[in-house]
Amino acid sequence: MRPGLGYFLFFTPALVLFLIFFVIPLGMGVYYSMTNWNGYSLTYQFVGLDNYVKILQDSRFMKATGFTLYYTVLVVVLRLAIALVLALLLNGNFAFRSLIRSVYFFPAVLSMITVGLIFNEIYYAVVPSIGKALGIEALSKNILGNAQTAIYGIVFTNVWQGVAVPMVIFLAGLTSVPKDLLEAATIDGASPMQRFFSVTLPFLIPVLMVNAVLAIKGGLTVFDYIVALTDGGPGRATESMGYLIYRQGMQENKFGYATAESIYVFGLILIISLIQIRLLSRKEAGQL
Amino acid sequence: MKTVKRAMFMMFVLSLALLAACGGNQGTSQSGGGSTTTPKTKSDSQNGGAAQVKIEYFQMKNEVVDVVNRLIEKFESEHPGIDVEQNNVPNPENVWSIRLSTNDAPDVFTHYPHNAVFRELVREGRVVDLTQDPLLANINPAIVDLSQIDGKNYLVPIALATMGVYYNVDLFHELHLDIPQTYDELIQTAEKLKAAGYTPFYFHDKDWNGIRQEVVFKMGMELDNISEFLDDVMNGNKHITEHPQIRALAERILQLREYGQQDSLGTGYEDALREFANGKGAMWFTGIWAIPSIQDANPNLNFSMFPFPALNAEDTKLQVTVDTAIGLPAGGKNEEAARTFVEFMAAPENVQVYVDAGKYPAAVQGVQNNVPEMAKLSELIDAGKVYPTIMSVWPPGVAEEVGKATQEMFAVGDIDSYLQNLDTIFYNRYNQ
Repeated sequence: MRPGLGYFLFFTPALVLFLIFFVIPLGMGVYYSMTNWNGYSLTYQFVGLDNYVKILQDSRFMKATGFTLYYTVLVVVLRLAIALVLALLLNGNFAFRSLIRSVYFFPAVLSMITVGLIFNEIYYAVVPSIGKALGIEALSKNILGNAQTAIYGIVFTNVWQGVAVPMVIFLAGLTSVPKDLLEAATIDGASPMQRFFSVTLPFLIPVLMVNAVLAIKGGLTVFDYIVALTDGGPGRATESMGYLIYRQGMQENKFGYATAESIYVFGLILIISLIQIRLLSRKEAGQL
Repeated sequence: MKTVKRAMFMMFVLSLALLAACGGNQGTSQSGGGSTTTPKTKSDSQNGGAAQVKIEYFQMKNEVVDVVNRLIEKFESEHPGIDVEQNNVPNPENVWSIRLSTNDAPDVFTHYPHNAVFRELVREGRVVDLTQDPLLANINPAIVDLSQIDGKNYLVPIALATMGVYYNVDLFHELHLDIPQTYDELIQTAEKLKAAGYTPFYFHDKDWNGIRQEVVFKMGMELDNISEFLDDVMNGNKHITEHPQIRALAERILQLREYGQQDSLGTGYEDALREFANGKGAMWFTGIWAIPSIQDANPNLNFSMFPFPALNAEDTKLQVTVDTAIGLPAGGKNEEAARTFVEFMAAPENVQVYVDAGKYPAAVQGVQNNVPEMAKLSELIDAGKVYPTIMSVWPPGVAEEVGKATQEMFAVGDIDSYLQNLDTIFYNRYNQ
């Protein structure tokens, strides 16, 4: 048997699954995005690129895009920074190490809806009482009920739960930092800061890349936190792109239009991912 | 290797983007709506499956799963040849539409005659026409009329929903307050409560859906010829601001917030329910569906309901929606057995069991109201002082936009831009 056929046998199952569950639905999605299908009717019309043109003039979609990008920046920066700091703190040797590590990992195993309910309660009852007691105007009402502050309530909840996984990945990455290099740096008189930036951080670049990709993905496709906390409100203040696609496709029966929006989101994520990969691989190559 | 990894991540991201569009309806929490999955229910065993007809009853109300199971048991003992399986899923309206569009329609289902998607599927001929059908024999004629779509009946109405003002009876007694008969009396009552140091109203303005319910209810009651007017607006012949009463109504809706709790925009439905049940607010406007939940939250609270008063006492009436109504799919395989089941579910003695458990007003004649909290509302229904929701002809999405626009108005307090926003929502909508 020629080796080529053997390879073919091995990758066929994966290829078939990939075609059925990814390529074909994507193709169908592109097709539906050029129709006016409402999602349940037996009939619909092909409208070409109409949906795509309309979306570009749709202020609601543009607002959702702006919201999503701002949200993503906040979530990515906070998640990565806090996860890295926590990982560094938890990396040392101290009493009850595993216990404390599991405490910090705990939010990751909670269901999203549970977290949403808990934080709804916190923002409704707990934060305002603290805000009133301390006389802080902005915190004395439910921050989710205010168009200016609602986004921070969602970001905080997302970060609270979303820090755990990158933290664990950072912890794993920290084991790859050679101890002898750190010791050598100490002997040469490097300060803790210098040791971190010159020795530890370069070794963490690969895991930083993984974490950044995950965090950006989480930010750009945010949906569940919004449904659980604000349902896009107050008004339209917290509609993300994922939420908008869901609303228009499933609730407002503009399935074709919503699919076209999701193709735009796909394009946006594609561009961001390409830039990200470029930047990070250059850094990696340069620093290692 | 790295490129492969990156490619995999990207695939993951892409598939999530797709999922956001395709699968989003499955596991999410819908505020106010049903959220628990109930497994299909029970029972063949009795006849060993010989010559059994099996039908599926796809019903959309999570809170009546138990009583429906009891009724099914009774039905099966009376009709041993028919096996009924109850199916209650989260997000049932979407599931129903999707099942219809994939030719997998349930044999019997509940739906809402005012629902926009339902109405469109009716027009596509996907539901059995029940106009003048013997199945409607027991139904209150006013409700049969109210649940028509283009002059025809496609559902058998069983139970109704309406809205009203919940009030704390003990508090009203303590302050010697009477039930307000007009809007001005309502404001005076609120003033007295406020002066006595109580919070007159609780609002759940964090949920746009609750606001939407309130606005639709009040528009229907207080604005003359509102349906025709909105039709004109949606056809592009008029603007919202041309209605002579609409600004005053918006001002009244906003005015009522002055008597609300400090942070109504931060209060969700569940929060308001709990606060009212714990005696914090004197009044709360929402649907009759909150009665069982309030009783659960605080069995000791002495509360009742009164109709939301119009400007003049004689204009006070109730928006009634058909809340449980049973229909049959066109071309259903087991239509005969399904009809037998609908006939059973619409029989007065079974409707009595159903509405007593669910605490609904009945759409069926010969059924009593055994829920004392609803007594004043039932009086209006019996007197025929009811009107249908004005929302049933709105295209999908409009209702939500109205709710969110009103929410914005509460935040900003600007009536002018609110009316402008409403105009943007409605103007020429039919032609877009």
